[in-house]
Amino acid sequence: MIHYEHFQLANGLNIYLHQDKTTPMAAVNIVYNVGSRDEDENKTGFAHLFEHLMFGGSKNIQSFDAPLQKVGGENNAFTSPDVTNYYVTLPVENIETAFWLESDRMMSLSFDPKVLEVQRKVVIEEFKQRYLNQPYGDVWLKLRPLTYQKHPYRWATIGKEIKHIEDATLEDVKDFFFRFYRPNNATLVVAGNIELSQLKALAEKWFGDIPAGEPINRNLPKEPRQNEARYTTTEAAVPLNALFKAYHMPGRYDKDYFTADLISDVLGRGKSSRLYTSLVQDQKLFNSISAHVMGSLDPGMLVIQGHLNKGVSLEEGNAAVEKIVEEVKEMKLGEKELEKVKNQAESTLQFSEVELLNRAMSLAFTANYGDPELCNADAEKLRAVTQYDMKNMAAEVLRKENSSTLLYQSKN
Amino acid sequence: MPDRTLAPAFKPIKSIQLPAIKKIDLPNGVPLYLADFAQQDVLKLEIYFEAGHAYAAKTGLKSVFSKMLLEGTSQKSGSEIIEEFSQYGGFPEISQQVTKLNFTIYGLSKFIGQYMNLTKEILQNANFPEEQLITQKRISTQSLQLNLEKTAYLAKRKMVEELFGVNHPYGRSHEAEDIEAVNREDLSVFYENRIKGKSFKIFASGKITDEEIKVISDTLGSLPVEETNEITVSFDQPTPGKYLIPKPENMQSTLRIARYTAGRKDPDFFKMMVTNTTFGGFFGSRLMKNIREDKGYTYGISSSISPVKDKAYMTIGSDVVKQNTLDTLAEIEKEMKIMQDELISSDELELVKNYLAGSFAGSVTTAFEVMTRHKNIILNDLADDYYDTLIDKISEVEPFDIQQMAQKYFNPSEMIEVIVGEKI
Repeated sequence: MIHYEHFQLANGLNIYLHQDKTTPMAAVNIVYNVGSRDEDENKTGFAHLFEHLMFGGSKNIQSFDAPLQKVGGENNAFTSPDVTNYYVTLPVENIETAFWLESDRMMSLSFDPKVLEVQRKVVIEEFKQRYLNQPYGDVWLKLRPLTYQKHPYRWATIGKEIKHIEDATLEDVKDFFFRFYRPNNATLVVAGNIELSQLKALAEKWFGDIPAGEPINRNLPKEPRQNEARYTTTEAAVPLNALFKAYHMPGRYDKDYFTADLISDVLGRGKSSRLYTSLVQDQKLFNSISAHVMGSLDPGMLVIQGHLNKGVSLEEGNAAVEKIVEEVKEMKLGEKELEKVKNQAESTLQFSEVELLNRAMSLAFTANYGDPELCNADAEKLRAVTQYDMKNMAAEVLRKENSSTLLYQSKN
Repeated sequence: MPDRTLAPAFKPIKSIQLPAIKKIDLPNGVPLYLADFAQQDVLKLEIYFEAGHAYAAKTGLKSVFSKMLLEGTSQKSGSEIIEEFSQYGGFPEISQQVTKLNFTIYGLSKFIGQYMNLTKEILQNANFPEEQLITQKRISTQSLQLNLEKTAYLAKRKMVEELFGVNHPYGRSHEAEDIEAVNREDLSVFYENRIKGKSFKIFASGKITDEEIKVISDTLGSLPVEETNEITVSFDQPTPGKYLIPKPENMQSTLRIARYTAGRKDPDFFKMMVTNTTFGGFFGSRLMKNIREDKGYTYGISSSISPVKDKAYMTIGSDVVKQNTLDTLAEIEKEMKIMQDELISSDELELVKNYLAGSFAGSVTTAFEVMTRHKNIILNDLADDYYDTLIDKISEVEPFDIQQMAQKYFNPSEMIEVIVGEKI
């Protein structure tokens, strides 16, 4: 249970307090309502590049990190297709430092050209290290555009190609900042041993005079219902053939999200799942296989991924996976199996609330989405899923025509 | 309007008392350590045996033994075991390190009875079925082949071979033939010698009330156990050297530079902790500022200290633009030289000390984290106040100590350097 209190500043900044008196540390989490789905299709990877620039100094403060480290704090950030999230943890008695730093970079960045030049190189190295210099590293660069044809989820957060990052200009940076990094497009969550009155005073002092920006109307193209199975093949010097399959499914806060999530668990969560027991243990076609869901805000993906044993062809592996998927789609799931995946999910959910920072993020994401109360709704939604729900959801999501398959051929 | 050019006042972190844990001796003499302060109904249970791969006769055993422990007993098949853990939201993990083996269960406190019955069964009656062994060997062989495609794996492997020696328990790596050579008999013999009927330690954290303690006591506390011997691992001085594993087709070079440094019981240890952190141990380190934030050669560069028994070793690591490999190496040497020649400013030192103190304070907030620290004290025989005095010891470090540590440990000619990629 994540309890919270809320208030809003005149400039539109929404602020939440999650009080926890048991810890000497505080978490300060700011989520900006902008992700790679908001990018121009010819300037992809920009939201993430921009995240790097947020650490390159603001109007009055040369370095973001050093003053925070000096008061015993740590911080990091990440960009997803949906949001860009910044978080700080520090001793609660030094919390004002986080307000000073975060508010100054929300007020204005330094827009130093050298920062852009260096971070452009750093991000290009990140692109290479994670996506190009790793076996199977480019899977998402290929699977996303196969699965999505209209919605901007069709490109990865790192960007479609290195060229887009090379081409970013300081003008792009400024436009992006003054459009998306405004208080009315952000949500601030503070968690720790702090009183509401204290928080209100700090928030007003540091964030109160930041001007609001124009309201943003997000009008993203909807991904049409997929009606034909898609396949594509790629080849690389990897040790084993591999297969990646994506099915469209509901978004993170859709009422049916957990039903789809539990279907992915039945298919491929751990060694007692159907795909693993059948394809790794019994038929010995795969070296590994699993399934998971992407908890994106707009309709997301249920993904099956597996590495095939040496000597097993991609056609044979794919046919075997499709057979299991078809079985799960057609059959009525037993009460015991449903109970199993619910228990696994409950366990994971409870573990996710142990850390203060995770609670702060969960609240920030639901509040950013528009309904903070959703952060306490997961357990109940999970328990409410019935066998009937599972059958209906499987019939829609696991349709063969809803699938996009990347066949990854080993050249070795 | 606040003056935004002035940093708010702050308080440095004074000492942190690690919250105490409890110890209970179970009926069979096995110690159960408890950190019971969770707000969620979950637990983490870790069972430690003196059963690392250093005790194994065959090098390949480590590639399959921990997996095979969950693959079947005389009463239950591997599928039944994993099915039952999953049915009750439990996640078992077995990991075999060099001298220890740990069996960890993450799960819901309300189902501890189910987890313990299964665990007891595994600790008494594991039988390593042949068919599962064939599957597991194949999976391990293919994972090895995948790892051999990863530059980070290749670099680390060569580094530990050179640092510890190819036949040393910490340096030994395995090949596909080593995996192939393992048979059921090897697993059974190892199990009989190191696990079955042998003593262990239990670390339980999360929501553990008297009820859960009783369940543990009635199951694992009723197993007859005897003590096992502990292996003595000695460490020889390595020969410094430079090694290149050519990967001309790659876009980046992966580099690792390593050497022995002071262990946790050495008075140099805390001085070296501050020195290493300044050099490459956090985002604001000198290496990050130079190689990433100034030159943009890499997504990240770091230097870390890894304790092993009473020793420790330092590793500098990065993936850099291939064309800047030599330049990066030169810059690393330059940064070492600066630390040897010049005293650190009091501002920089204060920042590093406060960062380390805050980072430590932030890493002992949950029951799981608190237990991890206590476990370190218990398993490595550290002083009881090791963590309680950590911040004090860090704050005592002076600029001169840092220069002295750099002079003692930052000599490129004494290091082992491994490059995977191209040295251009």
